Amino acid sequence: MFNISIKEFYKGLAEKKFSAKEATEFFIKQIKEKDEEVKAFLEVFEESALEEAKRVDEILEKRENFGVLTGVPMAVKDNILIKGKEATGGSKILKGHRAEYDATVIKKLKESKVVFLGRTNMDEFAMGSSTENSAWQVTHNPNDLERVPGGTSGGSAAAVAAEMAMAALGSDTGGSIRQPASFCGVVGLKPTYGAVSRFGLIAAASSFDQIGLLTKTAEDAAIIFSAIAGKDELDSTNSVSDFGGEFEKDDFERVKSFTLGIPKELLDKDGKFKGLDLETAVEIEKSKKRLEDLGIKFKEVSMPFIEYALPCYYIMIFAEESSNLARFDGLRYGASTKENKSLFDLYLENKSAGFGEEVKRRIILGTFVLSSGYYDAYYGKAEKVRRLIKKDFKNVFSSVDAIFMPTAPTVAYKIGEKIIDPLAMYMGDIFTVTASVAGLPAVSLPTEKKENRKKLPVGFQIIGKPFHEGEILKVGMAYEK
Amino acid sequence: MEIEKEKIKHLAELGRIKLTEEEAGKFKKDVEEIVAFFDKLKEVEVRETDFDISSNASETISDEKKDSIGTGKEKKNFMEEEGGYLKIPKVF
Repeated sequence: MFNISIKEFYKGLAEKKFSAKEATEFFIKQIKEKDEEVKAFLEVFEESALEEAKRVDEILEKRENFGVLTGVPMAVKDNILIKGKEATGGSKILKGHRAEYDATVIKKLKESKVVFLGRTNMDEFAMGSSTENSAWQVTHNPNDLERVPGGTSGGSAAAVAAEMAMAALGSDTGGSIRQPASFCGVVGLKPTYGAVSRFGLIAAASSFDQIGLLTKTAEDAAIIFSAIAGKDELDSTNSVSDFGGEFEKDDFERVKSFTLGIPKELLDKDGKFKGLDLETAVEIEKSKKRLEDLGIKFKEVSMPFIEYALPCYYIMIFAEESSNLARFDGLRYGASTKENKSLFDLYLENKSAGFGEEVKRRIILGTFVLSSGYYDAYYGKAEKVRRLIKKDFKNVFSSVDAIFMPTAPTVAYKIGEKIIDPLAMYMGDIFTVTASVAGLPAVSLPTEKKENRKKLPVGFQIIGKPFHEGEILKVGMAYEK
Repeated sequence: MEIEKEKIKHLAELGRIKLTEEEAGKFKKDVEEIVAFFDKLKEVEVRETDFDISSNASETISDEKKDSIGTGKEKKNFMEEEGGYLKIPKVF
C-alpha cells in the first residue's frame, strides 16, 4: 500500500487517502513482520514515531505548514544523533550513549516534519563493507537472507529494500551508502564533500565522511537531498548552499544529451570493466545500452592515477579514523570499568574491551602510517596522490559531463565469506572510493527495477562535478522512466 | 615488509589497546599484507609542480555566545560525577 514515491505520499496525505498515523503504523507493522529475519533495525522508535505522526495529522487538519516531506517515515543510521535517542555508531563502547542534541540533518528533517521510525544497524564506527562488523547484530540482505546487505549503511539499505521505511539516512566514507544500495537494489546518494553538514555525525574519516540517502528512486533522493543540503556554520567544511536550482526544473532533455566518461584505466583490452563477476558485467552492459537509448553518449577518458585510489584511500582513512577514535576512552561516554586503576590502565581496559577487531586493526594501521619513519612514505605520499586523483577528475570534466562506472565489482556475497580476509573486503571498494578521494557527488542506481529483476540486484554509478547532485540525479530519473 | 610482533604491540599501545599474543600474531599478518598493498603508491612519482594551491579555505564561526546544551546535561553520559564535577581516576 505504501510502495509509493514521496510525491505520491504527499498527494495521498493531502487528499486524505490515508493519515500520517496510518502510514507510520503500516511501516511499524512491516518492521515487526520482516525485521526478525532481516535485522536492519537496532531500535524501533514506536512510541515517538506514532507521537510525531499524530502531530502531523493535527497539522494536516489545520492545513498549516504542510511540505512534501511531512509525515514521511524514515530510518536513521546509528551514527547520526537524534536528541534523547541512543546512538552507538554500531559499537559496544557507546552502549547506552544518548544524544544531547540533534545532528543538523535531523534538525532540518524535523522542520520538514519527517517521522523517525528507528535507528539502523551499521559496521562499528562505519568501518567495513558488509555490516558484519556491527557489535550488535548481523543484517541480512532482503533479496537473499544468506547474503550481506553491504555496508557500512547496511541496515539503512536493507530497511528501504524490504519496505520497512520510505527512505533512510546513511553515511558514506568510501562507498558506505552506494555499495549497500547496489547490493540491496535501492538508490544511494553520496553528496559532494561539503554539501551536507556533518554536525552530529559520529566521525569516521573526517575529510571523506558525508551524510547521504538510501531511497527507492532518484526522485525521492533529490527531494530529501534538497531538504538536508546547504550551509551550516556548525560544520566549517560545509561550504555551499546553491545547487543551481536544478531540483526545481522538471526537464530531462539536457541530461539526455550528456556525455559520460569511462576511465580507460578501469577497462580490459575488450573495453569491458576489469574484475567484475559475470552477473555484474552483464547488468552493467545492459545499463550502458539503456543510457545510450536515452541519447546519452559514452567516451573513454584517461585518468592515470585512478588505479591508485584504493591504497590512497585506505592509508588516509586509517590515519583519520585512528585519530578520531582517540576520543572513545570509556570515560566520557558509554561502557566503562569503575575499578580504581591508573588512567593509562583504565584506557587500555576500556578500549580493548569496547572496540571490535576491525576497529583495532585500523587503529594499529592508522598509527603505523602516521608514525615517525613511515609518515612520509605512506600518509604524506597518499595525501599527494589524492591531489593527483582530484586533478585527474578535474581534467576529464572539461570534456565529459559525468563519469560512469559500476558501483561494486560483485553482487552481494554470502555472510561470512569475506570477513576473514580484510584485504579482500577492501578490494570490493575499488569503484566507490574514487569519488570519495576526490570529494565528488556520486549516485548508485539499480540497473533493473525490482519487479523486473530475476537475480540479485546490481548498481551502476554516476559520478558528477562538485555540487552537481541535481545533474546526476536527473540522469537517474531519466533512467528510471 | 616484515613488521615485528613487538612493533604491532607497541602501535596498539600507542592507541591505548592491549593485545593478546594471539591477536598480535593475527594483526601482524594482516598489517604486513595491507602495508604491502599500500606500497603500490611507491610507483607514483610526484613532482611538486603537480599542484596548485587549494582554494577551499575553511570558514570560522563568529566569536559570540550561542545556545549551549547547558552545564550538567553532558554528565548523563559520563560514568561518574561528584558535586557537579566529572570524576576520573587520579592522574598524578
